[in-house]
Amino acid sequence: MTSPLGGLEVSLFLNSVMVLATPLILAALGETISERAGVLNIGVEGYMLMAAFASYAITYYTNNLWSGVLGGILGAMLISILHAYLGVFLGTDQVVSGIGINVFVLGITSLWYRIIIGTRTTPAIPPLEIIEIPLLSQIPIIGSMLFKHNVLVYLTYGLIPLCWFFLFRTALGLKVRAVGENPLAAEAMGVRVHYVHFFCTIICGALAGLGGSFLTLGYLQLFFDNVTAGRGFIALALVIVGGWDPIKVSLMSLVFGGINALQARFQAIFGTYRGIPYPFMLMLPYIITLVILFKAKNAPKALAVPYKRKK
Amino acid sequence: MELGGLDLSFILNKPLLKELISVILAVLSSVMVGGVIFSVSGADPLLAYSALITGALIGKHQIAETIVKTTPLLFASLGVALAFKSGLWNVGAEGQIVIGSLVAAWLGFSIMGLPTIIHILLTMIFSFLGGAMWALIPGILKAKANINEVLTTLMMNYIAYWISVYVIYWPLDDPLSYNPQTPHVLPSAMLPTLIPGTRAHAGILLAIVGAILLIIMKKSIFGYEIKVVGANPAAAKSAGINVPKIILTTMVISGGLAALGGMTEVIGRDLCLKLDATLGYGYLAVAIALVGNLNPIGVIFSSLFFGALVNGADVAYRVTRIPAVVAQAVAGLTMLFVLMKGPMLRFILKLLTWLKIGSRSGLS
Repeated sequence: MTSPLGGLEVSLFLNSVMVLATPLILAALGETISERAGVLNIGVEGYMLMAAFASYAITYYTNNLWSGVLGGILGAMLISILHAYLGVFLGTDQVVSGIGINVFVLGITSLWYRIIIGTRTTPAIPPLEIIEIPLLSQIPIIGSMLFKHNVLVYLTYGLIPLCWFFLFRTALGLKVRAVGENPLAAEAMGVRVHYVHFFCTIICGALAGLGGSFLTLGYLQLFFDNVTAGRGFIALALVIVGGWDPIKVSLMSLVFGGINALQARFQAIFGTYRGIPYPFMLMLPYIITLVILFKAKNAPKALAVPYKRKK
Repeated sequence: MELGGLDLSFILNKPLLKELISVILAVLSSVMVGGVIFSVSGADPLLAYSALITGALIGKHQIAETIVKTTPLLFASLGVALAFKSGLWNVGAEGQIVIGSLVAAWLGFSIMGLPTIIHILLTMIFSFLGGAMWALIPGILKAKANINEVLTTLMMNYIAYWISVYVIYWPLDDPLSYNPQTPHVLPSAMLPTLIPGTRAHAGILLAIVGAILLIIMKKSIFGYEIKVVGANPAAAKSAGINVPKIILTTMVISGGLAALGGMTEVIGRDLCLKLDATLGYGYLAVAIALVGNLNPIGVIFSSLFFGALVNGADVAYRVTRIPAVVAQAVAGLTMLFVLMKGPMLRFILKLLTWLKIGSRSGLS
């Protein structure tokens, strides 16, 4: 079956939508939890980049994808601990700390990549195995969009409701939201504000790290300088547009995956012979992000306000 | 806090001294931690740093190149510092630099028959306006719709980057060159050389003039208003300050200054616009502005430091094969350490006091 999108099967296209959306969903879920607790992680881009590098490098050496995934998550978590230390315990400005983390991670990953691999070659690593879910993957259109993926995508399906359940149906989730709205009142009720901030920042690091690992192991199978190309920043915008709700944020990420996939298709169709230069296609996601930010809703009240305990 | 009869706590009461000592501490710590990271990643840190210093400062050409590298960084970080001072997190210097360089590249070769002074002035004015317009978009979004400027300026950076790729490969592609670059600018648009026989150009003087203008502006009513808005927007509003107007004006000046940094790279250094010529400058500028404590004079010194770092890293690569991106890694580390400078200074003062007490009790 060919589609109006230029001789491409619709199912294949929809499949790529999900692949492109997954890193965004994971990073945005992490950011949702940390922002609900009142910690702004501008460094989510850096967490993803660190994870993308660590997972690539570890897989390159060990040839074991699982140690790659694990290494990616741990790498991102380490960086998020740094942010938590600065932004939560020292109470420094979270915007500056986040930008500092991004600059540092961009520098250090580019440096390590050159030291380990060099600039001439970009050796590819084996991809994560695609698992087709029997029966479900046979459903027309939806089947190949949702059920012909590697295991990290299925894990993401599970994490979306889990994050929602955590935030809105558990006692700890209630504490997280209380801290993000009114830390003073939360502390008066006996919540350890700093620990909640710390915990949520590291969760953000872990989820963004999973997203970054997916980017290299599940999708590109390569690493290059600044491989994340602003995906973390887009995830930040998606959290705002999705109103800090894990389900809505994930749906917005899916829409964004669609825009990215379309962009890639347009590039292939128009870029070659109909004279729309490819840079215009590539700037599309960023322009759309700018536009959708107009729909921003109310942020958690204590977002990015370092909490100082009264002694 | 006594140290051998010397009371060190006075440091905490002298703002300028405290600032200076804590910034130096932050830079030293990042250099040390950077050294540890290099040695862990298999590069000899002593060799790297000595190559870096030699490459940046020893010899006429090295100093000239450090000046060349400092120029755009100084322009951009002055812009960033101004915006940060008013509480605007303009992290869009990267894109504003690109727009400035695009305007300069275009005007530099397309207008013929102008006297040098007028051509350069025209290029300056329009580069400034280009960057100002680019920064005005996030400014308007912030002032009118209260949309977070961190995200919008970041998005504008990516858009500017792809515009530059388009312009360099399509409309302004130099047909005579195999490299992705625009045609060379006309001699009438070139900034005069500062040190004969090197690439050091008069751009650095322009940047210093910019810093002086900012210092003068600080003393004006507008400068005061910026400070109040940055410290407390709600109070500024109730004091009758037109906050949206301050936001827009600050963004315009900030973006324009950054754009001039892009311009000097085109009409001063490369004499054409090359692909990725200013990659990463905007983010370095954020680090520089913070290390310079958002103060024009502080920013002059910190951009000299980072200019030397970037230039030295280039040279060090040729000697030691340590990739030049180390400059970026050290810049990021410095930003993080600058955040910690206050607690760090207090910690070290405490440590010194504690050490003294320890030795005294050991003696008696």
